[in-house]
Parts: sequence; structure tokens; C-alpha cells
Amino acid sequence: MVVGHALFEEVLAFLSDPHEGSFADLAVKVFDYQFRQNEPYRRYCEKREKTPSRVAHWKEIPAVPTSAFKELDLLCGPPEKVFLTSGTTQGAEKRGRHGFPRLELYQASLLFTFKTFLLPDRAKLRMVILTPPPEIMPDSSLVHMLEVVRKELGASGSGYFVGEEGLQFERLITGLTNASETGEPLFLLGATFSFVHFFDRCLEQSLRFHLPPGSRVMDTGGSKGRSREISADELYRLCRELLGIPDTFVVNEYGMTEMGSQFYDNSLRNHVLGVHEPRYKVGPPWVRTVVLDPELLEEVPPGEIGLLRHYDLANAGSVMAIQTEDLGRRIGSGFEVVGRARGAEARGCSLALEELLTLR
Amino acid sequence: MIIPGAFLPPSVNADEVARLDFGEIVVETAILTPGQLEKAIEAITEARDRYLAHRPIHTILSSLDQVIALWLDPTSPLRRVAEEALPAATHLSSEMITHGLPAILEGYRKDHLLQVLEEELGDPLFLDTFRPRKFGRSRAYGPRLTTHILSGNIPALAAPSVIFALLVKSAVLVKSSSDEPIFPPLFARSIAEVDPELGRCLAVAWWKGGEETLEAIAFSRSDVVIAYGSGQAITSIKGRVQGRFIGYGHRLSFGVIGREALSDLEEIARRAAYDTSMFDQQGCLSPHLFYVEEGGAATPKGFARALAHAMDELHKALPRGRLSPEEASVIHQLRGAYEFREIAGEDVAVYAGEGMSWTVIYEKDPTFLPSCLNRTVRVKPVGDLGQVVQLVAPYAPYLSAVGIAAPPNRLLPLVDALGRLGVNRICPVGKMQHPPAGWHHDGRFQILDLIRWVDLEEDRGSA
Repeated sequence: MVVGHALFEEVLAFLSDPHEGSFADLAVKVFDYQFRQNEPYRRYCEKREKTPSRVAHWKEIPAVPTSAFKELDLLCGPPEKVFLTSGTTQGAEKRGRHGFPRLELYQASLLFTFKTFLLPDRAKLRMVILTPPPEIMPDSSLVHMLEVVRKELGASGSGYFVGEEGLQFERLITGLTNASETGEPLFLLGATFSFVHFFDRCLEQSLRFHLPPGSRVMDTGGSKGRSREISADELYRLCRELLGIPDTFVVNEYGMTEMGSQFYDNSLRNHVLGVHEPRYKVGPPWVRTVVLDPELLEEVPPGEIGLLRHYDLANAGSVMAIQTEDLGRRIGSGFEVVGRARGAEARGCSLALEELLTLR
Repeated sequence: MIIPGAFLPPSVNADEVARLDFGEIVVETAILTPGQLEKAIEAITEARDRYLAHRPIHTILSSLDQVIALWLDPTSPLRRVAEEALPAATHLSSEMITHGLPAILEGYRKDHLLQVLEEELGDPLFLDTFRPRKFGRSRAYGPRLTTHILSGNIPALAAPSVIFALLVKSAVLVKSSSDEPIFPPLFARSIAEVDPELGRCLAVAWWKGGEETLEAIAFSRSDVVIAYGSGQAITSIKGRVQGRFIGYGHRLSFGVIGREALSDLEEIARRAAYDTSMFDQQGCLSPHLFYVEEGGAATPKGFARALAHAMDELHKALPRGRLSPEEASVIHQLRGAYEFREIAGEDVAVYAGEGMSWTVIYEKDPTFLPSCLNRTVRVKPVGDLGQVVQLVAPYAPYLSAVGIAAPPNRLLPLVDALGRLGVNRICPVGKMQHPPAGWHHDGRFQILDLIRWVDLEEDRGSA
């Protein structure tokens, strides 16, 4: 039995050197800790008769549906920081809350993974961030993450290009033009829909940039509902044609407020390492992902589509096992996200919840 | 198995074929050019003018009755094809199709249809000749052509739509839904088999909903367009129809259990489970929620438990069909959210069937909430039946049926208040999914909405 402080140290040690230790052993320890410290989670597990003495393998650890984060705090101790989900566009829905009793776990996880997949060439780049700064969005885990990478990994002059008034288009144009002229590569980061808005304005004004080699893009969250919807292929095309950034240097992040760790496309890392593999999502060594049959919640054979469930040791202070609404399939050492089940439209003429959200 | 998805006049030969793939079942259906659709409409309306317009109503009734008889015969080849193919397309289980298909169709036997005609027209012969009324004589003329844009949620939806149109001697053009292109052409074939003359007045086609060129042709040639679907689809179609338009949009239904009905808890729970489970809650008459009155022999939570038990029992006999991953995920997330609310100390309870087979949620807060469907139903307490009216008022424009279990003296005041609110069908719990043939679907007539009257005032030489 390990007490909280010591357990967090053990996880931190694993995060700093995953070769020393085993995910499987640590996962069971984290479960034992969470079962004791997280009262609502314990009761959830007890209902399923999954107690630490009955859980031998991490795959047996009960996973909490992401919807639970909207209903109550799932914590093993007082949080140093709480992040909120963005909620739906209608705003009628409750926002999910995810707290971190030891924020250091989150920082350590995100920096390792970010460096692995976005800076495998150890470049130090000026970051052009297409989100509001943390002062405007203090509750957003994405903005917090970008602030951490800006401070720790960004070159001087890195900054935010979205203010209270929205995208600072002119400032952005100036920044991109200067970079094209000086030959300094840029790193653009932000929500996918912000890129779409930016590209749409560029197309309107017939603007094109040829950013210096080494420039790259990290987008996240997709475009659905917040801008016109575009496919990944269309995003690559726009990055290529409007920014001069090749496909491999466009890396999609997949993350969620309910998780301390993130996943990224393997494209840039593989390019730098000279590995030839299809593009898919990979996380850090302290995360495991399984793909489950949506009805039976049992693992499906590799390649089949199912619901994604993540086991994330960076969530040591809340709940490690997260049942998402995301659909995906296993590929190589990672997975591909094929859709999000949220807001699923029911068949038929019986009126479903989604259509009614607008009524209230 | 390959099933033809179109039923077209022999003069129409489409060169291109679309394949709608439902796994083991593939529907092959003609891709019509605008010219071919024109030709099909020409052929069925001509046949209608030549034969159907002059057919006595009783002969149409007899033919349709034979068609229904054919469908009620479990050994008839068409029914067997439907029973094999429909589970693949509709996602309903075979057991549900086998039970649900005859349950729907037997409502349209001759005696029922005759009752509808008599009730709405007074005398069915108004469709054949000028008949005396209090003011001279009148005759009811049906449309030359009706176009039916179907949705795919409930199998056999085509049957009533086509039957009523043929009863008023209209040629019928059906546009099948991409979700269920199987029953409409089979139904058309059964009509042609029984009565080739009637069959010549019918065409079933498929195109992608919203195909404006084809729809413009169909709509401009139709006297009446009938459409089933989402609010968005209905609005879009309505804006493009020049003639009469009848739209059946999304609706929601619910149940109300008075305290008296709780004395036979098992029985009332069994009926509520049937209403909820039929067609996996995909119909506009499917209850999203049950309000249960406090103060009876069982508590509302006790009813929720009994309902859960009944849902489980019924699932053994009439299993739920396949879910999409999205649908399953939504149910899983909903269950999880309520489980944690219960853990957090809220007065809620989740009863969940194995897998995602069914879910009953008890929730003290009486606020009306629509269900995510597929056998997911909430049970909420009310102190008094009368409170229900205020609770459902925000959804008034969408309300369809209310299943009520309450004694007559308490039923009547409630019925009036619900009627004023906008509900259009009130029935016993257990009967929600089986409206009689003569029900006023969305508050309208089945026959009268299709016809137009012609009055004949004769000069009797007195002037």
C-alpha cells in the first residue's frame, strides 16, 4: 500500500524514465490508491465488484464514462488546478470538471509527449498560438497546455493571436509575412476551427505564405460546429497551399479535459526518424488505449471500430481509466480516431434529445 | 439476398442501378432520370384515369383486404422476404419484425377501413357517385396523384399511406427512405399480385432525399404530397410543394400512471414496458418518459423497478435490434452520469439491462426530458396527475400520444387539459403503439384531408 505523496513520486519517476518500471505494475498500484482515496469512484467500483483484491490486470480496472465528470468531482485529494470542458455550442449542457491534486504530473506528461511528437528534431521555434491566452481562458486545459509549451519550449516572441475580439488577423499576417522574409520557421498551434477561419480569410484575400522549412502546425479538436467542417486531407491541402507546410509537418492532437495525457499523429516523428508508417495517433508510454465493442464493452479484434478507452497514469490524482465517446480503431502501436459519438442522432421520427436542446 | 428496391411501370427501363447495402441484404434500385420519372408518373396517372377513377370503392376495399390477408399469412413468400430483409435494414430484431408487421397491418382489414370511410365521409359511396346531402348532392374526388416521401423508422409505414391514397382513387408515387427501402416495393408487388389493375396505378422509387430535380417533377405533378421525417426535412419539402402538403414531423410521446393503477403493479409495468420497447422506441408514439403519481400501492421508484423487470422479460421475447456505436455510447454515458449522480446522493436510480438492451432511470426531479431512445426511459414522480400538464408544456408543439392509466373520473379533467395543450392522442397504457386505423394522425383526417368535394345543386324548376 502506498500513500498519495509517495505514489505521485513513483508515477513521476516513471514519467521521467518509463524504461525503469512497468506500466502494468504501476497501473494496479494507482487503482489501489484511487479506490481508497476517491470515494465516488470506490462506490462505482464496488457496485461492479471490482476491488483492488479482485483486479489483477489493468484491463480489469473499471473505467468512468466522461459524462461522470459533469456530475461530480472525481478526485483523490484537494486539486491544485481544475480544468473545465468547453461545453456544447448550445451551452445548455453542464461542463465537465477535472482536477489535478498534483499538477506536476500533468506538466511532465504533456511536455514529454509534445517534445516526442512535435519537436522530435529538438527545434526551438517561435510559437504562433491560435487560442486566447490563459488570462482569457483560465479554465481550459488546452490553453494551459499551450502556455506550458510556450514557456518551456517556445522561442522568444512566441505568443497568442486570439483576443477577446477573436482572431487577430492583421497581426497574424504580419507575423507570417516577416517569417517568410527572414527565413525563421514558425510553429502554429491551435484549435482546428481557428485554422479554418484563418484559411477562409486568406482565401478571401488571396493571401499565400511560404513559411521556411521546419515550420509546422499542431491542430486539435476538429472543425465541426465551430466553423465549416473540413476533413484532415483538406486541412493538409490548405496548410500546403496557403502556408507552404508539408503534410508530415501538420500534426493533429487528440486530447480531452478528462485526461492528463495527450495523443498525437506520428507523422512528424516518423519523418524525422525516417520511419515509414501510416499516420495514426500515439500516446506516451504511461497511457494504454483499448478499443471496445460499444454494446458489450469488450475488446474488439485489431482493426475493428469501437469505443476508445484510455488508461492514463497522469490521471493518478483523479481516475485513471476513462471511457470516452470517441470511436476508433487500433493501428500499429496506436490508433486512429474515426468519429465522436457525442450528440448521436437517433434514427426515426421520435424526437431525440439533441433536436430539443435548442428549445430551452 | 438481393431485393428489388423499385416498383415501376413496365414502360420505364432505368439504365442505372443503385445498390443499397445492408450487409447480407442488398437492395438494388433503379436510378431514375428526370425523363424516366416523368414517364413513370405518366403511366400511373393514365392507368388511374382509365381504371381506378372508375372503380367502385367496394372493389378497392376487397382487393386491399386480400392484400392485407396475404401479409397476415406467415407462409406468404412476400412476407417471408420482408421478415428476412427488414431486420438488416431497420436494425430491429427478427422477433420484433415478426411480431410488429402483422400487428400493424391487421389494423387495415376491410372492416376497419370501412369504419374509417364511414366515419369520415358518412357514406363511402360519396367516392363513387353524387349522393344526396342536406344541401343538394355531393361527390368526393380524390387526387389524381399523391406522392409519399417515407421515413425509415417504422417498418410498414408505407401501408397506411398507400392504402388511404388508393381508397380515394389516387395514383401513388412512393419515395422510399434510404433506411428502409424494402417494405414499400414489396407492398406494391403484393397489391399488383392481388389486383394487377390497381398495381398499374402505383410506383415505388428511391432517390436520395432532397434530390431537387426529381422531387420538383414529382411535386409539380402531385395534387397532394405526404411526407414523414425530421422537422428539417418536412420544412424543406413543404417549401417546394405547390399543391396540398401533409407533413408528419418528429413527435414525442409519454405515459402517465395514476396511483390507482399501481395496485396491479406487475400488469401496469408490463404494459408500459411493451409501449416503450415496441420498435425500439423509434416511433412517434413511443413514450420517452412515464410520470407516476405518488400515494399508490407502490412508490414511483417501485414502479421503476417493476418496469425494469418487465423490460427485461420483454427483451427475452422481443429483443432489441442492433445499435450503432454512437447510439450504444450515448446510452452508456447516460447510465454512467446517472450512476454518479446516485453516488453523489441525488434521488435517482439506474436499472440497466445486460449490454445496452434497456435502461430505466428513476429521477425525482420531475422536469420533462426526452430520451436518447432505443429502450431508454425515465420514470418521474408527481404528487398529482394534474401537475403533468405544466411539466410537458414546454414541449407542446411536439407532443403526440399520451398513454394514461387512471380511473375515468380523474382521467377526464386531465384529458381536457392535455388536449388544450396540443396532445392529439390519449390511449390506455399498453396500447400506445397500436392506434386504430381511424385515428387522427397528428390530429388530422386520413381520408378527408386527401379529397375534394364537388357539390351539385340541381334546378328543381321552382324558380
